[in-house]
Amino acid sequence: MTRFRRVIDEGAIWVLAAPLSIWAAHFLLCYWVAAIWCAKGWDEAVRMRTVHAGLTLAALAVIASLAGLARRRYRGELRVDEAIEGDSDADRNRFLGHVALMLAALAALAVVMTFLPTLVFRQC
Amino acid sequence: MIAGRRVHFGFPAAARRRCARIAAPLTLLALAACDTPTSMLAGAGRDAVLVERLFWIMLSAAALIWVLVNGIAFYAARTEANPERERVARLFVVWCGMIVPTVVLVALLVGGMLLLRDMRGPRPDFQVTIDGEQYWWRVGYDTPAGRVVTANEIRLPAGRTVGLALASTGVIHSFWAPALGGKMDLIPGRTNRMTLTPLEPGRWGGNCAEFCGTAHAQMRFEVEVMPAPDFDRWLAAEAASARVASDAGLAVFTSAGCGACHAVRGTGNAGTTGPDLTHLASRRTMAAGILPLDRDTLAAWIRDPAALKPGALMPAFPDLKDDAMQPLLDFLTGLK
Repeated sequence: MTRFRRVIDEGAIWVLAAPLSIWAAHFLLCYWVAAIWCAKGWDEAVRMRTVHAGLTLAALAVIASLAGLARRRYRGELRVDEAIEGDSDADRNRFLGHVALMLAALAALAVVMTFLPTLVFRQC
Repeated sequence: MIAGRRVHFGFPAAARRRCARIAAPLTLLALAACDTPTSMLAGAGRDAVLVERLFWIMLSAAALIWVLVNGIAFYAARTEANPERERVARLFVVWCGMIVPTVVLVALLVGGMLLLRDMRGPRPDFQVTIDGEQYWWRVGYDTPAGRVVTANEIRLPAGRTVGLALASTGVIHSFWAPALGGKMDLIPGRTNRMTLTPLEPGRWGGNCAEFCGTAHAQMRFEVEVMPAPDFDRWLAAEAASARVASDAGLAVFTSAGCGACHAVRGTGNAGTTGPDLTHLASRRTMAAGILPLDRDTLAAWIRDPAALKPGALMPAFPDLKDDAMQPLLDFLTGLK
């Protein structure tokens, strides 16, 4: 795996794309679930809101684990005004971790906002 | 910004005066539009009142934010950089650039959704079906005695909630009476539902709000909101068969083939392609709300509908002689 080291292993950049991808997947799944549940009339058996809540909790858990990874492996810090100006590998990693953490916070907020309509509208 | 240098936002006095001269009449013109039958600020229906409230809240908030942001930008441009206050500036960015906008956006989202839930909430007292045609509206009232069909003029009782079932056979239309409430598309192959609760008696306007073909802009309608007892009387009269004022006119109507497209209940003419004409003369307008309903306009319409409404699908009858046209007009204008 040495050839793709930077893609999937140490200092890999996928950690930047992952949080927002989770949000996109959560968004899409929520729409699919709403469309299918309402079209098939499954809301009586299993509440659509329960499924959405499950999806939201799962998405938040994955985002939280990504944030943990960004903190541990990349030494990222959730400080908005952090200035990383060095050009070493360690600085690069710290920068990736920092951006990944910020994106994880944004994705978590976006996931919660996607879930809000289910809380307000109780039916299909 | 370069320390010590000031930026001037001032415009020359002449330019300011010129702007004011142009802006003042435009503002008056815009405000004058708020009181028309098609204004969403007329507040003639429960939903329109809810939307109007949200509009004013959002407008005031947007104005406040605009003044604050521009005030701060103005201040920032006129003040000098001070490195000792960088910490305050960072806190300012975090709070005003991230936390406050997030809270405001979430509040707006939740507020908007709660409003939408309120608008979908009430259980309708009765049902009206509206079918979008090219380019007019078929209106059907479901009564215990059956469906009463009319066209282009919708009468509703004040204070009662009506459930609208919106459908279309050909293309997508959109039903919107801004003074009364929200807008809903009519989509072929499905029935969309919305409710309206008119509050203010009067005549309110509406238009197709989704481009549907050549005469889209001439696909209007009127909603007459009446006191509930008056509405009940009107609906009972509307359910009755047609009153034939001219037998000769009815003969022309039937022999010219008008009944293939138009229904006049009680006369054997039962076409459904065009608007139901059973109580045509009780309407104020024709051709989907774009023309006054009178003898001359009716005659011109029958001779060449597309000349009055480009794109109208009714065929022209240019060869109808005056001795046939006059009884036909007697018949049509007698359909009270």
